[in-house]
Amino acid sequence: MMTTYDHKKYSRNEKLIKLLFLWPSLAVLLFLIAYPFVMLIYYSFFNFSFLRPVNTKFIGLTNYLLILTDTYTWERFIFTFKYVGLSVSIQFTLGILIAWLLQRDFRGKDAVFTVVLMPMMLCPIVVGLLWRYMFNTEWGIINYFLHNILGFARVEWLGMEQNSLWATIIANTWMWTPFMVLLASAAFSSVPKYLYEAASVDRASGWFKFTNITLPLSAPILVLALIFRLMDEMKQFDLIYTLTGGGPGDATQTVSFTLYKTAFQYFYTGEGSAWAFILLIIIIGLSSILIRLLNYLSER
Amino acid sequence: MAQVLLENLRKYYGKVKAVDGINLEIKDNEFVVFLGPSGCGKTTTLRCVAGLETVTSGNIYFGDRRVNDLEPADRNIAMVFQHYALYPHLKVHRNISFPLKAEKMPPSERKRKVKEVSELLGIEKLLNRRISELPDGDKQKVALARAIVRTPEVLLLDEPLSALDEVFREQMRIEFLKIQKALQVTTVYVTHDQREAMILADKIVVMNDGKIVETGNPEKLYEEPQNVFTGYFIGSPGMNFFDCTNKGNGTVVLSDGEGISFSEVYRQKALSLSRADFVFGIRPEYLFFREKLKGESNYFKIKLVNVERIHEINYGNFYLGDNLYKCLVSDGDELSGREGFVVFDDQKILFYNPESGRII
Repeated sequence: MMTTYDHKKYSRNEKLIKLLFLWPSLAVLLFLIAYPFVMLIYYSFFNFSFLRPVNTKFIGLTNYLLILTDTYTWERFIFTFKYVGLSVSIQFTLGILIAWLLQRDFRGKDAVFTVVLMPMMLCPIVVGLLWRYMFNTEWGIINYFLHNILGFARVEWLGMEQNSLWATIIANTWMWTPFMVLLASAAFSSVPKYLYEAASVDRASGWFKFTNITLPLSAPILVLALIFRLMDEMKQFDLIYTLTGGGPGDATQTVSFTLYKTAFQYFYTGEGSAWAFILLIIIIGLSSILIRLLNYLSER
Repeated sequence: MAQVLLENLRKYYGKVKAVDGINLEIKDNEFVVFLGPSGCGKTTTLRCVAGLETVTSGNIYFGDRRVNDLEPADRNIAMVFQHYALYPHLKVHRNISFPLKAEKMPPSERKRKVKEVSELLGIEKLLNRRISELPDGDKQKVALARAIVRTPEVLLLDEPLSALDEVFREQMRIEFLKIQKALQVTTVYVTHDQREAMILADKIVVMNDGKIVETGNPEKLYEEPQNVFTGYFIGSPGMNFFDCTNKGNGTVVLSDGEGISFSEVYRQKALSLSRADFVFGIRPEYLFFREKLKGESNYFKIKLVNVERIHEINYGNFYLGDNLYKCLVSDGDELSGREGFVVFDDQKILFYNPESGRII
């Protein structure tokens, strides 16, 4: 006998089954994301500290005003923007360049590719520690090269404000350029081969092909990679924590580092929540600009 | 000088012999069509000429210049691809001016050239459109415009019409002819469509299995194919080929054992063939069905299976052994299933060697 599918009879059951499958993950999501988020906004209006949950009072926007009127805050933001801006642009440029070099075929390409991707597979805490040792003024390998082999003066990588900015950027770039390489390679290889054939018949040089075909056609994926990196960098904490500990002084303390200290070292939970909310808004703002760019590029 | 010479050209992919020893001379301004079934090596040959494939052995000359080791960019060619290969992110006018920009022509001159060529092809209204907005026919016109904007020495077209609807094909065929005559450019055109080849070509190069089967102008290939493959491939429907045996006692029989009667001249010719087996080839257009003979001397007996109309002409189908053949019938369906005779024109008979497929 033929079995036919009775829509009316099964559709009610099906809806129920779909719901049954859906609600556990929905509940977990609500519990892990929505609830903490609501509580975060809630606490940001109180002088709450979860170590001393007494005398908690509603203080309105005081936490926000405290943060936004403090010149220290602006210093942290300026450092963060410098750090993120420089890191992401260097990663972006280097990533595209390396991906372009890896486009052509050569012996051992797969091995090179794997090695290039390696830093990304390490844990940021470990990367921070590794570079901390390498940057050591007295016995770090970098100063060994600069001083003992090349004859320059020893550089106080982590002890001076300006140097420490570059030390963090170098470590960060080393770790995250592979991500850009990966996405740029994917973007480049998605450009159909026949376009390059058409272009070589049209007498385009390698560079002309790259700037007039490869880049414009992979722009959407490249911008997407930029969005990922930007969002991630704005939140970055772990690498800096082990590399410089925010020092010297507070020189390499990013916004999220300050947030960590406020919330988990001084336990000003309310003020920490306000920091978190401000950071969130900035990240959303920045990425929405890039998402617009992305939409513009993909509609073209 | 844009004379193209292929000298013993070979292209192997591992053990696969895609192009297996091709010798061909293409004259200046000639419109040459490579014709053959898919996988016959025609596109590979074209890509070797373009420089998109390296050759395994043999030489390619443009004029006196050996171009084997030149990049496509250095060969001064232009190409139209089967699937257009337009730059999807650029508007129409920037697609057309791409080759000009690549050779750093100043913008004002680029603009003038684009205007010129778009007027020639009647696409001046499309210049500011996006590629994705264009119908397929217009896409291929833009691709053609991009190819000819830079007066190439050799124009290569790789099945440019096979992705288009029949209506567009008709239009574009006319366009190609017009452009080629106007530009006076040596053109190599690849297709598997014999009608296209017949309409466009000055010279058709029939290919099969990586080799050239036969070269010639369309009329000659149609009327006197030197090879069974050509006769079968060119024409729609293709040529009929009957296996014949010379019994030696003055009679010739077909594969079903039925005798075939030739007029005296051809009977002598058939009987004089040094081999006992041969193939007798004739186009369906020269083969007529009659229920009763009216004194013809060229005929054999058949039974019609059915009648079909192809391009407004009634063709009768009949079997000899397992092979299906076609002949002309005067009336329609009512002849289906009838027995009778096919008679044929004396002048149109061709004999072939069954092993080599070559004409005798």
